[in-house]
Amino acid sequence: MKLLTCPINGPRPVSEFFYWGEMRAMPDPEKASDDEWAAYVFNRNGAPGIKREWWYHLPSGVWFVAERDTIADKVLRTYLYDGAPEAQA
Amino acid sequence: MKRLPPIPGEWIDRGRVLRFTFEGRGYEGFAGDTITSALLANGVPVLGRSFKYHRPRGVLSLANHDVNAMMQVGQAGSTVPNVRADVTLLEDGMIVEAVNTSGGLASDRLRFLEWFSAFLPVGFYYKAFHKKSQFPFWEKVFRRITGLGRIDLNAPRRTTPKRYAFCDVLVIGGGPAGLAAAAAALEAGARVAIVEENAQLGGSALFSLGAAPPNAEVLALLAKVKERAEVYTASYAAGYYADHWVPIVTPDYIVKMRARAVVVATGAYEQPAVFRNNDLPGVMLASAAQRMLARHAIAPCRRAVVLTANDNGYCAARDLAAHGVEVAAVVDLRAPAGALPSTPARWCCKAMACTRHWRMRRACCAACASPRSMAAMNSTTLPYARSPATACS
Repeated sequence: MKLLTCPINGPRPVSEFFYWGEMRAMPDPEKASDDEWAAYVFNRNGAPGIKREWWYHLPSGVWFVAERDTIADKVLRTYLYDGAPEAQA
Repeated sequence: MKRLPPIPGEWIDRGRVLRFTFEGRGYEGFAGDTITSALLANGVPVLGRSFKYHRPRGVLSLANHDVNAMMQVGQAGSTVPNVRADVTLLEDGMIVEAVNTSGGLASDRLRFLEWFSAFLPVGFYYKAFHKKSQFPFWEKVFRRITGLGRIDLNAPRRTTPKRYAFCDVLVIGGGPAGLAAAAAALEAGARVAIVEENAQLGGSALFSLGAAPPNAEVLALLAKVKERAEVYTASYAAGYYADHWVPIVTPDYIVKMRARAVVVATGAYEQPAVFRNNDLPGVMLASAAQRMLARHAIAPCRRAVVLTANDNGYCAARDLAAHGVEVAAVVDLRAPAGALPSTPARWCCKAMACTRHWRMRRACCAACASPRSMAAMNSTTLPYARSPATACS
């Protein structure tokens, strides 16, 4: 079983974690066109590469960000969300 | 094959006699024997049948690198199939049978299949009987006559508990390289676990001796590792999963080991020389002969021929001679300096052509005229172009 490092609790088995998808910038719903909004709601980027993702540690309730290289199947780093600008969708 | 007088460092406890049956006949072995070594000590040369043609098979590697010695173990009706006899320790009252025979190992009714081997190429039954109307019938027939052990549906449920363990460095293999790795990790203050398939640590350092005492440096490593590391003997690492997650299968339970680093020190596989009938009982790897001498104090034969393509063969020959086995010849396949490339092959051809042994005459050496002879092989670096099979055919 794989391990994932929770920024608060350290390395834990991946079964303790919940995945909430890639971090994506939400377009302003007031200003976005229908196409932009539909793309945001329905489309996901499946291309392999380095991804910034939301993860949740279930036993302790910690939301954090993991940077994952999906080509090399490696977690580059995990950190608590620091309000940094989100990756472009 | 016979048991030798006590040898220092042997793995058997001669004070404890274990009784077991093989193919319905009673035998005795000592505590510390594996199933294979106990049978060898009782002079049982044939341990199994090959899975397709039912050719007789004896010991080849004595290291669980071959499937010659697979056993069906237990009371009739609740047997365990495919027990690896080379590394499974003998227990008192064990009931052992060879797998995949019809009417017993010695008089296997299916041994005639070998006569038709020319007509049964690889994949023959899938090609010849692939019609939907025929396959269900032939499938049953082939399932019965080929393959390995049979599964007893009435076998009682075996509980195999799991445990969890953690270490800094997991070393797989307890030979000299594994011991050195484990000792170095211990030196650096790491928590070390070591997994060894055989009943004791030491590996080739304790059997490939060349008639010398074991290396003192390795013995020191061994003592240190035994004292300070977590040792799993008679166990094997069954897989290698993400983030150094390794299941260790011991005889009674499985350990889910999470390591921070893994060292694979599983050693070298000795390659058999390729020649006709090299699978028959009596032909074995040189390391098998050394294992049975040093670990279980069994002489593999009275007279031996050592076939080699490297210097290890001489080490094996010295070991054999030191334990009273007459080394009739050492056949070295390497070309002497300045010789034509075909010279060693010709030696071999001549050597293999004229023994009086039943069926081994094409496979053994001129020098080993005794019917209880053996060609111990050690050909890790044997180039196939010069192998005896090529030379003879």
